[in-house]
Amino acid sequence: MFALGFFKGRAESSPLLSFLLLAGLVSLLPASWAEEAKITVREILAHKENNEIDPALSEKILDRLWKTFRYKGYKLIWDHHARLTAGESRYLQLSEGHSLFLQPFLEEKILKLKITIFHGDKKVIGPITIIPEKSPTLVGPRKLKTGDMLLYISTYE
Amino acid sequence: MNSECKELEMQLSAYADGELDAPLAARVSSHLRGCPRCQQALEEIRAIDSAAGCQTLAPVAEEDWAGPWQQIAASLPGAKRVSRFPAWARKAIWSGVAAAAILALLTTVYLVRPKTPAAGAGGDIKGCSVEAIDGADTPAICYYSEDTDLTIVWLENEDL
Repeated sequence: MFALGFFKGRAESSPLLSFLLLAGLVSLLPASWAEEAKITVREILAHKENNEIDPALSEKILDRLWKTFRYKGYKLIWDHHARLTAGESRYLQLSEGHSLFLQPFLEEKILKLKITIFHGDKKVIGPITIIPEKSPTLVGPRKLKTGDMLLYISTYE
Repeated sequence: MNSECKELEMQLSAYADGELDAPLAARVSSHLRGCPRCQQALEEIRAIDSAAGCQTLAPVAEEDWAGPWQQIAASLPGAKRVSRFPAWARKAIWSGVAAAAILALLTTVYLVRPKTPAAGAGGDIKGCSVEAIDGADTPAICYYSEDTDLTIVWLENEDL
């Protein structure tokens, strides 16, 4: 209370001091917002012959897939929602011996994500550094027995 | 006074100061040995030099003057530094200097800030979420579709 009173008194007496205090508080806000990101990782199986469309996939995602690829059908194998914070790594098991390693980290007050895809012990690709808040990221295709695997990484509210 | 006396008389002062070159100095010395009149003239020149306190001073280094000057300044009663500028002008000057220093600091920070490793991954494209691709054991192409707002890392599988 004493400290608050001290600053209050100073702020009233000095517009410059109150401006600096306000600027300091504002500069802290983006850092705290950026320390966590809500990420969804979807494993999608794409078909060239089978034209089945999985209703679990949203129209927005399907629209993006139709405009990007020439597959006839898409099936959502699973989706994983996660609240990622810097320094907290995740390891997700994918189909047919594949796995995904997620390493979130903070850089210049922005939460970024390093993703690495493995097949067994062998690295397929990565780390790929992405900024999830910019745009959804699609990594693939990766050939599976039943079709092609696509990884769709996006943020959610 | 013979003709040689007249010729060398003008050199006696330089001879006394040791400023003659060796051949001319030898010639003056030789002449002096046989000329009492010139010897007398040389003695007079040396006497004048001595009376005038003519001597060679050791050179004083620039920094050696700092101490004496400080002592002189300290010994002045009520010595106070007087600025050429009025108070408001000094404030304005120092504000300008401070602003320039802050600007220089910010510019330096901006210039030396770490660059985003975006090469080959489209990190400098607005909207593209991929900043860098390292260790691409599988050949990959990254592109951003503005139409769908989707960043694609296309893996070039051999068996596809």
